[in-house]
Amino acid sequence: MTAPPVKLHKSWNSRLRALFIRSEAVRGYTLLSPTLIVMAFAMCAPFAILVTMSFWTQHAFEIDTAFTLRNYQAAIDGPIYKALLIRSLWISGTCAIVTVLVSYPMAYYVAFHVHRRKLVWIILMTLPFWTSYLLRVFSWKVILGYNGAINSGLKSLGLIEQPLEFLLYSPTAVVITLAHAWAAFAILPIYVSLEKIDRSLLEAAADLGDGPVVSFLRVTLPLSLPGVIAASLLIFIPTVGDYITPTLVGGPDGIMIANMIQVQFGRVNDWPMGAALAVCMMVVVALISLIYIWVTRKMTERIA
Amino acid sequence: MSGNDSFISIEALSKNFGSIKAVDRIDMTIGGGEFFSLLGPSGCGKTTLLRMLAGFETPTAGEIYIDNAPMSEVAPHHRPTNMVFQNYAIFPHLNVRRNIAYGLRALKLSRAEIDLRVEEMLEIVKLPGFSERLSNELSGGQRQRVALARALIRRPKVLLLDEPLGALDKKLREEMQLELRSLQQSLSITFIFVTHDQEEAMTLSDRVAVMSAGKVLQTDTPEQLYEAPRSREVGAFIGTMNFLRGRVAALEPEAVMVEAGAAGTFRVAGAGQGRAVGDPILIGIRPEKLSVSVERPAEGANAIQGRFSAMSYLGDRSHYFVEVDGLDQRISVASQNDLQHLVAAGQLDYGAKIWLTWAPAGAVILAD
Repeated sequence: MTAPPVKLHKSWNSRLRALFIRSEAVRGYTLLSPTLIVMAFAMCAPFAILVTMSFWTQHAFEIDTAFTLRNYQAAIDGPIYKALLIRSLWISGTCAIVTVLVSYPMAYYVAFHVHRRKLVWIILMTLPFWTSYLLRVFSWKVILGYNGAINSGLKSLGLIEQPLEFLLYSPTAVVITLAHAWAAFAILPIYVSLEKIDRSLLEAAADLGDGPVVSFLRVTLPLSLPGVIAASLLIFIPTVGDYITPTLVGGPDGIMIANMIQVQFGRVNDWPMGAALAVCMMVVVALISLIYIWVTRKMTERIA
Repeated sequence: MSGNDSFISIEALSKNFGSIKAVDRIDMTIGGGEFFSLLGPSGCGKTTLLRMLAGFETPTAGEIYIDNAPMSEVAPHHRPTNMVFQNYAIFPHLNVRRNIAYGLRALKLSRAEIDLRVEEMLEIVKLPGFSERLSNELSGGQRQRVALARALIRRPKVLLLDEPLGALDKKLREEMQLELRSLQQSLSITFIFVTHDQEEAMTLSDRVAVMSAGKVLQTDTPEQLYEAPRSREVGAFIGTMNFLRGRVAALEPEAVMVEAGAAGTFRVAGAGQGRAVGDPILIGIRPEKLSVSVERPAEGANAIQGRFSAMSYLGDRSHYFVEVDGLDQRISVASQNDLQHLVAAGQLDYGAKIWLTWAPAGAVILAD
């Protein structure tokens, strides 16, 4: 028998196809490429520019491109920056905790006690997102304001004589507004992690002598922790950099670091300083997030 | 069986899901230390009954007594029962040790006592050295053992097992059956075992309740269920059974003469149970109670002539299928390869006439 004639010149097309079939990495990168391209142009490049700029100096309308750490020196030394950053972290941290605490029962209810039309419930919970962010913040102004819904309601009930002033233009207002605005970001991951819990595990816990509260603490809560961690990070990280909410409802005591950054890029026109502040904020947020993840992981290991 | 005979007493227990009667007025008593199985096809209500015993389902009507205490007001976490779940329900965030020790927290034992009991349990279920593993690092059989240990460590009065061996392969399942049986005997805890596998129920149990459509058809020892099923359903569910429908031809003190149309007239051991001559009657014969022969049997013996229609060789025995005029179903015969050599030698073809014979005690009278 003679061997069939072998094709010596494979076409480019077939060679490419062979590579595609053989190498999982090639397939993976191809699938990733749209995201990678967007990330490279829309995230990495601006970030690189920001970092570079933070080492420059602004002189009136000119930018001196000589390398200097002066901006960082100013950021660390300036008490106003530090105070604003700490306040931002404090507000965002509180906001993350409040949002998770408020969202958990809602997610729990839908996951365990709604048996039909869960999707409708989930959609209803994301309903606030169907209106513009600004509109939502303004509606809180209406609710929390000096003559707002809460104050006039309490007054007509005779519970207070003077309107409560701490409601609007305060860190409390920022926390309340942010917590409401970001609630869906907490509800969804917590709901998903609760929904994943095998119901027979809860029956097993009851069977092994745990009442409802104990079995929640020993089974449901630890198994939903990934959702809780995701939710708190999803809220903490972006809210640290929020400047719209503090501008609208924060008042002088509710101003956050991002407002300062915005001012540097805007009115003050010191872009390098703004860039340095932004980098500082990012580094601090990243550090806190990493520590948080590490601590919670250690803690769950301890519980488990 | 040890202890009292009605350690668990179930009275007129019903459970409806909407219009579906999952469990329909069941009465049952289970003895202390008994290995009791609930056997039936899926959807027969056996799991619902077990879940009512555990407290996960609330009965629509009726009452369960365990050790003379009514259970309807008792929450699952206060019941003297523990359960081995069908999917094992091993806590994924806890290692084997913590899974097994899980139920001891409510008993408020000292740390040393807990460690001792866990070690002891690991020994019993043959998992020493596995205490630090997580559930996803265990095989199906190992998970099953963890689930068993976790339920037994609380020393329950009753252990409920919901098809615990269903997910295991055949070899492992047989091994676990033996282990379960010897474990139950050494601990003398009442085991209530739900299964749809009749062989498993027969192998393991002291008594078996055969269930269908929310009702108990018959509760008996495996031997009685097999040898003396009371109804066609039970006979057909446990093993294989051939059925002959006929009329009472004559009543004798210890036997009934049954005339089954074209198939002939047979003597069946047993009392007529109130039947009169001429009444319809259904008899059942196990395949292995029949013997086959090519020659005509002696006069007076129970015998049917039929056509040899199919055969399957199973190694230790063969199944022969015989078509009989006047019967709508082929008769199945299990025997130790009686005809094998004839078929192999080409002396017996399909369609050839052969005879089936059986002893009067080989058939049973069934309620229709």
